[in-house]
Amino acid sequence: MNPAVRVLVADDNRVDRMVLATIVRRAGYEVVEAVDGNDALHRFRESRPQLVLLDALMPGLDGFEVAREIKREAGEDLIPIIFLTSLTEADALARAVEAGGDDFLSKPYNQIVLKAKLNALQRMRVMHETMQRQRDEIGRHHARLVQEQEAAKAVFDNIAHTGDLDAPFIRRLISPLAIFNGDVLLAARNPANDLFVLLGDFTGHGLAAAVGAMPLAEIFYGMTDKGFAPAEILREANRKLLGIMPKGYFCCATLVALRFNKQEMEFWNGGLPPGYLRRRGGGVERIESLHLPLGVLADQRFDPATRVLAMRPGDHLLLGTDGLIDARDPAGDPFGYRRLDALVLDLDPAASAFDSVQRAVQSHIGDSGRDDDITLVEITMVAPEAVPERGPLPEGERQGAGAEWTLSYELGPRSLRRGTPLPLLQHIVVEFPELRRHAATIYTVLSELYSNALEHGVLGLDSSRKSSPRGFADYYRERARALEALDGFVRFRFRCDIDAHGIRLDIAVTDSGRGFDYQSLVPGNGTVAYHGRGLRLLRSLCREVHHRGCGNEVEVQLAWDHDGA
Amino acid sequence: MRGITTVPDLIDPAVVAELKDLMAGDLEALLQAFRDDSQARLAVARRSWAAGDLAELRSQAHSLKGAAANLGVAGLAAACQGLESAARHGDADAVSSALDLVGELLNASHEAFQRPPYRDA
Repeated sequence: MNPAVRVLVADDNRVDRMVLATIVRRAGYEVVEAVDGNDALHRFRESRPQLVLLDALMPGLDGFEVAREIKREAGEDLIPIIFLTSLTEADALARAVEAGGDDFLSKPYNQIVLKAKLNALQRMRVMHETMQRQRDEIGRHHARLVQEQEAAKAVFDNIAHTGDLDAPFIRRLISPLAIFNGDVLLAARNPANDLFVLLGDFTGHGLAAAVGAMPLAEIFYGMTDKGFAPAEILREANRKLLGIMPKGYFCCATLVALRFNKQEMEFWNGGLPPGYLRRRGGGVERIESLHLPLGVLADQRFDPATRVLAMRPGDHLLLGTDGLIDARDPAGDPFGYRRLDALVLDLDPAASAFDSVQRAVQSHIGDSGRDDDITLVEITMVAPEAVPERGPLPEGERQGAGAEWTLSYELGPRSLRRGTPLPLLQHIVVEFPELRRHAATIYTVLSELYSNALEHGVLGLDSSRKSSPRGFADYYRERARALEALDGFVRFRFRCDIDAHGIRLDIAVTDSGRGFDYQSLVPGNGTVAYHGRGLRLLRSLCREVHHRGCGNEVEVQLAWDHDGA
Repeated sequence: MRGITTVPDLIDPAVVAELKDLMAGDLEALLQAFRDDSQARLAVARRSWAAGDLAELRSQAHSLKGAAANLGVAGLAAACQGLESAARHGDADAVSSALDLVGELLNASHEAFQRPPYRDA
C-alpha cells in the first residue's frame, strides 16, 4: 500500500477514534486525527488527506456540514468520504448521501469490512485521478495543437497574405482554414502588371499539409515580384518541395499567368482537376493536367512547360481543387468529374460558372455537409486599361545623390535557353531609389524588348502567325523547338543618367537575327492585332523608340522629371 | 422493566476477540480511555436530564452507545440505545430507569474489563 495515502479520521469520541485510527493504520494508511467538525476542516486543509472517515454527529460543525465543505474545496478531485453512522438511522443515511458521502460504516467497527472499503475507495480515487490526468493531458494536447495551428496560420498569413486575391477580376471560394485542408490560393502581380495565380492542393491534412505551403508561397510571391517567368517559378517550387517534403507528400497545383497587355494566358496544371476556359460568346475549353504534381520529380525530369492561350476581355478561367470532386452527398456519393464536366460544358454562356458550380456542389452536399474543403476560383480576362495599377514599390530610404552608369550585358545561347534575364536586370535597376518608382514601366519595356529580340530576332519567328487561335498554339510550339536549337545572342546596353533635374535611361538591344524592314512601319498606323501590341506598347511608354541597322537593333529612351512627370 | 428481556449479554466475545487482536499492546490504554470518557459522559447525561436538555442527553447516550459497541460491551450499548430512544420520546419514567440501567451496566463493564475475555485468565 502506498504510504503516502493519508486518511482523515474525524470522531469526537476518543475511544471510537482510537479503534478507528488503529484499524486504518494497520491497513497501511497514514492517519490524521480530528476531534470534532471544526478540527476536521482544519486538518483537511492542512494535510490534504486523500480519504476521509467522518462521524455524522459531532459537536460544533456536524459531519454533514464538514462533508459538504470538503467536497466543495476538493473541486474536481475525488476525496471519498465514509460516514461513521449506524445503518439503522435511515434519515441520517439520506442526509449523508446528500452531503456527498460515498460509503458508510457502523459500530462496532469491523476491521475487515473497513479495510475492504478503504481499499475500494482508494482504487476508485486512483482511477479518477488517472482519468483526470489523462483528460487534462488530452486538453493540453488539444490546446497545444490549436495554438500551433494558430501560430502556423499566422505565419502563413504573413507569408501568403491575400496578395492580389481581392482584385476585381478574381472570384474565389476558399475556407479561411483551407491551409489545414492543404489548399492554397495565391495571387500576385509581376512588374509588368501580369496577374499570376497559383492554386495548390497539398497531400494530407493539418500541419503536415500546411508546412509545405509556406515555402511555396514565399517562392511564388518572391519570384513573381522579381519578374520571373512561370516556368522558372514552377521549377524552383518543385525543387524546393521535393527537397523539404517527406516521401509521398506533394502538391497538386495550377499556375496561371494572365498577361493583360498581350491578352494571353500561360497555364500549367500538375495534378489538379482540369481548368475550364469559358469564352465570352460561348464555347468552353477544358485544360487538362499534363504534368505530375510539384514535389514528385527530380529537377532534371521536371517539365515546367506552359501552354499559352489567347484570351479576350470577358473570357473566364474556372479552377478548383479535389475538394470539389470529392464533395460527398449524405449517402457518400462524390460530386465527381462527370457532374462537373456536364455542368460547365452545357452551361448557358450567359450564366456564371462560378455561381453555378458553387450552387450545384452545395446542393449535392446537402444541409448537413461540411463545405469548408471546397476551393473554387474564377479569373476573368480584362482589357489592359481595366487593370488597376500595381501599388508602387517602396521608395528607397533616401533620395540618391544622382548616378551615372552604363552597363552592357550579353546573353549567349546557353543563357537564352535557360530563361529570362529580366529579374537580374530589374534587380540592378531598382537598386537606384530614383528608378524604383518606375520599376513597373521599366520592367514592361525590358520584357517587350527582350521577347522581341529573342522571338523575332534570334529565333526568327513570325509574330503575324499568332493572329489565329490555331496559329497561336503553333507559334508557341515552334518557339519551344527553336529555343532548343538556337544559336545567337541578345545584347543589352544601358546608359543611365540621374541628376538634380531628372532621370534618363537609354536601353539599346541588339540581337543576332536578320532584322526586319522597320522603314515600312508607320507609327500610329498599326492594325490592332495581337502581334502589333508589342511595338505599340513600347511607343506608349518610351519617349523615343528607334530601330537601327538592319532592324536587329532597337534603342529606346525613358525619361522622367523628379517631380514625377 | 420493558424490553429488558431483549437486552443481550453484557459482553460480545467475538467483538472482544477482534479488539484484542487489533489493539494488542494498546488495549489497556483504550480501556482506560473508556473508563474516563464514559464516567464523564454519564455525569453530563445526568446533569442534562436534570436541566431538561433532552438533546444533549441523547447526544451523550449516542456517543456512549458507539464506544460501548466498539469495546464489545453489547449489553451496555443496548441500554444506551434504550436511553437514546426514551430521550427522543421524552418519556420521563423510561429515561429515569434507562439512566439507572446505563449506570449499573457501566459499573459492570468496568469490572468486566478486569476479567476474561478482556484479561487473560
